[in-house]
Order: sequence, then C-alpha cells, then structure tokens
Amino acid sequence: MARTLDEMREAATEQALIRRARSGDRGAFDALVRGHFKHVYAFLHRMIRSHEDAEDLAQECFVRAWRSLPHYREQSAFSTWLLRIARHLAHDHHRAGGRRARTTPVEEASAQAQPGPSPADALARREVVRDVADALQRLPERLRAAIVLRTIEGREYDEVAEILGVKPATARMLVMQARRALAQRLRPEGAP
Amino acid sequence: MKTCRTFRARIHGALDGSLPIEAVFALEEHVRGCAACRTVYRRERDLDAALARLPGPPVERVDVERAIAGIRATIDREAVAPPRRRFWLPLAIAAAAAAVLLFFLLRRAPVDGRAPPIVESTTRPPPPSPPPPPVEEIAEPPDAAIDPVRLARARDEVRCLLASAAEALPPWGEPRAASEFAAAVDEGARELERSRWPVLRLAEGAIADADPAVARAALRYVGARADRLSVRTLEAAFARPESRIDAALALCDAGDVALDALASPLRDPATRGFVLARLADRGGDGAARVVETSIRVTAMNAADRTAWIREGLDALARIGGPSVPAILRLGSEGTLSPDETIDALAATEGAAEVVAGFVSARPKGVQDALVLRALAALQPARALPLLERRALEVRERRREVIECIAWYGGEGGLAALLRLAASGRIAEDDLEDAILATLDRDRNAGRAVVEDWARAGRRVELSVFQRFLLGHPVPAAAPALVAFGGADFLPTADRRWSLLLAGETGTPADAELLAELFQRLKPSEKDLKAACLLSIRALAGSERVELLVETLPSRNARRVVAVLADADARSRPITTLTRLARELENALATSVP
Repeated sequence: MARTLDEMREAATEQALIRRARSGDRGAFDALVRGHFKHVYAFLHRMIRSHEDAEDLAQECFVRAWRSLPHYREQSAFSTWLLRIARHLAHDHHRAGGRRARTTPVEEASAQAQPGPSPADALARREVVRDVADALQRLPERLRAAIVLRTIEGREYDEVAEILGVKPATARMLVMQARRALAQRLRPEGAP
Repeated sequence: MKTCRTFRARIHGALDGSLPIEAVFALEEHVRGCAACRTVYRRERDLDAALARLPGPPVERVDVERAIAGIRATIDREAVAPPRRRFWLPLAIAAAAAAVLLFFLLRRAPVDGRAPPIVESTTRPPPPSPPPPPVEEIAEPPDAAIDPVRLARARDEVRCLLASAAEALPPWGEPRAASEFAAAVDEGARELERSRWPVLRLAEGAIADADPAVARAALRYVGARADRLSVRTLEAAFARPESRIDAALALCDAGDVALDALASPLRDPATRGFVLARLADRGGDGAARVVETSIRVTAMNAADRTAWIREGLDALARIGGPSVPAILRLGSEGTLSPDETIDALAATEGAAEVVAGFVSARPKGVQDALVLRALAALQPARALPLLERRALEVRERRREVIECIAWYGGEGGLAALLRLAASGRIAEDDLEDAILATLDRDRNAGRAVVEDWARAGRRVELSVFQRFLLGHPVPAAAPALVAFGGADFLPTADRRWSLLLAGETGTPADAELLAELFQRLKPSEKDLKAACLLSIRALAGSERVELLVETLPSRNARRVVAVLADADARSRPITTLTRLARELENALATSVP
C-alpha cells in the first residue's frame, strides 16, 4: 500500500512538474530531465551503441520535448512520450549513417560486465555476447527497437506499441520477427 | 489434439511471460516428450539468455547535470533566436517564397505522377515574369535562394510536432475530432506560421516519412487542412501501398477539393467500401456525382459487376435525394438496366418526390421515358396532376404519359384519365386502353369515381364515363355500371340501361352489388328494382333472386320468380330484356307494398 501511495505521489509530482514546465518553468523541466535522462540515454545507447552519440541524442530528445511540451496531452506516460521522441531520433541517426561512427566495441562494454567463472568460459561468453550484439545491430531499426524495448528493457507490449506508434498486436509481431531474425543470424551455418 | 506447430507458436509467449501459466505447463510437458520442440525451445531460451548477458549501457559515464546544462544552453539559444530571426526574416521569407514557388511549378508539371518532395534549395533564378502567387501561400515575392539548413530545421520541427501529435491521433470518420487535431498542430506550428513557413507543405513532406506514426499524423493533418495542391500529394500517398488506406481516408477528409481524386480509391477493392461509406455520410450533389462516376467507370470493367454496382447504389441510396439524377442518368445511358434503376430509386429516400419534379423539366442526360417509368413505379402523389396537365398541354410522349397515369391506377388514376377524356382535347381512342387497364386492375375504382362525382354533381364527366362503359362492355366495368344505376340524378332510362348492362357483363360477385342496390332503391323505382333482379338472375342464378324476394308476399314472390324463369335472361338480347323488365314492373306494382 505504502508503495502504491509512493507511486501515486510520484506520478502526481511528475504531473505537477510537467504542468509547471509547460508554463515555462525551466526548473521544473530540469527536474524532469534529471528523472528521465538516464532511461532515455540507456535506450538510445542500446539502439546506436555509442556513448557520445547516445548522450548527444538524449540531450536533443529533451530539447525537442521542451519544444513539444505544449502538445503533450498526458494520454501516455511522460517516459513513454520521451522514448517515442528518442526512437525518432535514433531512427534519424540510423538513416543519416551515424551508426557507422563512434560505435562502442562490445569488448569494451562487456569488459565492464562481470567476467565468467574461468578464463575459457569468459572468453566463450564474450564471444557469444559479441555475436548477439552484432546481430542486434544488423537488425532493421524498427525490429531492433521492438526487441530492445520488450525483451531487453522488459516493457509491456502496450508501451512498446505506443513508443513504436503501432498497435499492440503489431508490436508483438515485430518482437517475434526480431527474435526470429536474431536466431537466424546467430545460427551456425548449416544448422537446421 | 495440439500439434508441434501449435506449441512452437507458443514458445515466444512462454518466454516473454505473456502466455497463461496453464499453457506454459502444457508447453513444457510437450517439450519434455518432443525432441524437435525441445531443440527449438532451448534455442529460444539461449537467445533470451544471450540477450540478458548483453552489457548494459554505461550509464555511470553519464553526467546528468552537464547534460542539463547542455539542454538549457540549447533552449536558451533558441529563446534568444527571435531577434536573429528578425534580422534574417526578410531573407528567410524571400527564400521560403522562392522555394514555395518552385515547389508549385514542379507540382504543376509532374513528370511521373508522384508529388515532388519539398525543395530544399534552389539556385535557379526566378522566371522572367512569374504569375502572381496566391496570397495565402506565398508571403513575399521570391528573390533569393532558401537556406537549406533552415528549411531542414523547419521540416524537422514539423516532423517532431507531428510525432508528438501522433499520440492523440483521433479515429477516422470524426470530422470534429480531426479538426481539433489539426487545430492543435496549427497551434504548435504557430511560430513557423509566423515566420511564413508553409506548414501544410512541410506536413505534406512528412507523409512519406519512414515512421508510420509520423506519416499517419501528417496524412491526418493534411487531410483536415488540404487545399488543391495537397490533393496531389495525397494521391501520390495513395499510390504507395504502405499509406494507401490512410491516404484514402485523408482524401475523404479533404472535402470538396478532393472529390475527384476519390476516383482511384473507389476503384481499389481495399478502399472502395469505406470511401463509399464516407461519401454516403457526407451526402450532397458532389458525393453523388463521384459515386455515379465510379459506378459508370469501374462497374463496367469489374469482374464482379453486380457486387460493385450494388455497393455503389447502396451508397447513392444513403445519399438520398441528390442521388436521383445520378441514378436516372446511369439508367438512361444503359449502365443500369431499367429494373435496376427503378429498384435503386425505390431504395432511395425522397426519390419519388424528386422524380415528380422531373415531369416538366428533367436533368441533362436523363431520358423522359425512364422518368415516366420511374413515376409509374414510385407513384408520388404530387406528380399525378403534373402528368395530367402535361398530357393535356404537350403532345410529345403523350401516349407514355397516359400509360404512366394508368400505372398509377386506382381512383386517382382513373379520374385523371376520365377528366382527360372529358376535356375533349384528347381523342377517346388514345385513352381507351389506359382506362380499360385501370378498370381491369382495380374493379372498384370505377364505382368509387362514380360515387365521388355523383356527390360532387360532376355530370359532364359522369356522362362521358357512362358513355364509355356502354361502349366497352367488359367485366371490369360492372361495379361502375351498378354505381350508375344508383345515381339518382341521372335519367331513369340511363340508370336502367346501366343495371341491365351490368347483368350482361359482370361476374357473380357483382350480383351482391346489385342485391345491395335492390334493397336500397325506393319502392317507387320498380323498373330499376326489376332491372336489378334480372341482372342478379343472370349473374348468380334464380336461387339468389328467390333469396332476395322471400320478404315479398309468397304469391308475388312466386310470380316474380316464374316471370324471370320464362324470360331466360341469359339467352336474350338487351331489347328483349327491356320488354321483360316492363312486364316485371307490372308484377311488382301489384305485389310490392
């Protein structure tokens, strides 16, 4: 119960911040940025695999959010709305060829992750992780966004659908397609 | 019995937590016993595990406060931009105008039928004598090239605006909601508008956006705000399979300017149904004209002609009155058969009254004969006097007009025909078939006319009718003849002749009319009573007469019956029957009190 009340209080606070930001209160908007920046950054990083680009795009996402705030009707969560803008930015970035530049190597990223129990295992695991990350990056942007949002970030289909601008059933289909495409790319040659 | 295929289709749901727990248990049980499914299941699980092992984003490297400072700086830069914008304003307006003009020129002369994209830059000088651009579309005369960076930014802003507006996309088919949606976008684009950017054109550019949500929002906005130029863009969007449905709906939203552009969606089986429905909801002459054209053009080429025509006619029927000329034109040119035309008109509310208006002045392309046939079928009351007047005044197609009146039939139709006969301006021969057909279809119509006119004292028309009946002894005339027998303002001889003729021409059912009149006649009208008895015996036999005279003293009754038996009315001509009637008059004079 206490947690629900906390959540409700948090939502009410966020709504108040949104209303104040909408009326031009920069401080309120800063508070919103503080609360959501890392989530937006994380999604963008998963989409484009570059720390610098993800950080730049996350900033751009909030600049656009500030511009579009008068049109945000609170029909979806603020975070969903932000991710929707972020997804458009990732899409544009991808289309502009930004994907080729400044991509963080998986080795570098996975080095920060916990190592395996033995050097051999760690090596094998790192190999698999690199393959999966590469296969993920080779997916079409839409499918990548779908699987990132659902399978990696664990969002509900309704929210995935809102971010992608599709119906929930389509979102489900996109996730399935993405999994199938990933599985196909990861399957050793000659395997059934 | 579930197959491996069924279970495999559930693996994804099981792993992603969206499958009910019972189904997950069933799946796991199946997987334990099926090696092939086990392999697939394990592979999917491994994929999940691999995805879970992907390193998370290096969130710890993010400096949120620094990011906030960067965001603030960008917002502040934009906030102080207006003075700079003012400084560049004349150049920007001129550049935008140049781009818009070039944009219009390119769109007016499309090479491949697709709408050209928004022109990002141009180094071409303006044409030597450019035509004056529309005031609302071009703010300043073009005299400089547009800054591609600014254009890209403006386009980007509109795209962003549409992306955020896409959240509150109203459902199709709600014009008010669509209008509110467009107003909300306009509100967001006020700055751009103030800087004279053609927001509508920029939104048109977003129709082909790779993001379906943005494209859909752009289509919705353009549909609500469309001008003649937008229609070309919407048509181009309709040509692309991915935006076909939304483009067709946007064209429906676009109003009168896009009516002609609906021809393509009406040819496409995927969009035809809802476009027809929207046109039917919209109604009016324009919608009827578009549906008419679609029936004309597509129904002739479609494999399933009947279904296509039926859909189109259903839409026309829903449109109502404005569809009537369209339906009649389709019937007149042969696209619809006469029966299809009449059925379509019958299904269209208010069609009868509209067709009635075409008696004297019909629309172009509509055949007079078809109008008359439609009137005959629909029979609007308003048209009958119009038809009667037209038969009197116009010789052209008089025969068809008279036939049409005959189809109206009943008391009204017969009265109209008899009035025409009484006018003396139309030969009786021209009316003969129509009157007889009317009597034949409704035996009681003649009786009703006689009774009405007798009450109104219309002797001229009555004498014309009686003369007609005496000259045309047909079974259908008998009820009218009986009515003449009861018309007390006529000379007794005329009434008697009518009653005797009814006995010659009528049916057993008419004997009851005669019996009723026999009871109603005054005792002094013995010759008419005698004529009634003669005719009743001729039509229904002696038993019916005996039943009728059983109220008389038995001696007199027997005498009447005996005289009638001698007379053998059936086999003798009218003159013989007249003589017999006189004898009967004497018998009745002594027996009837």
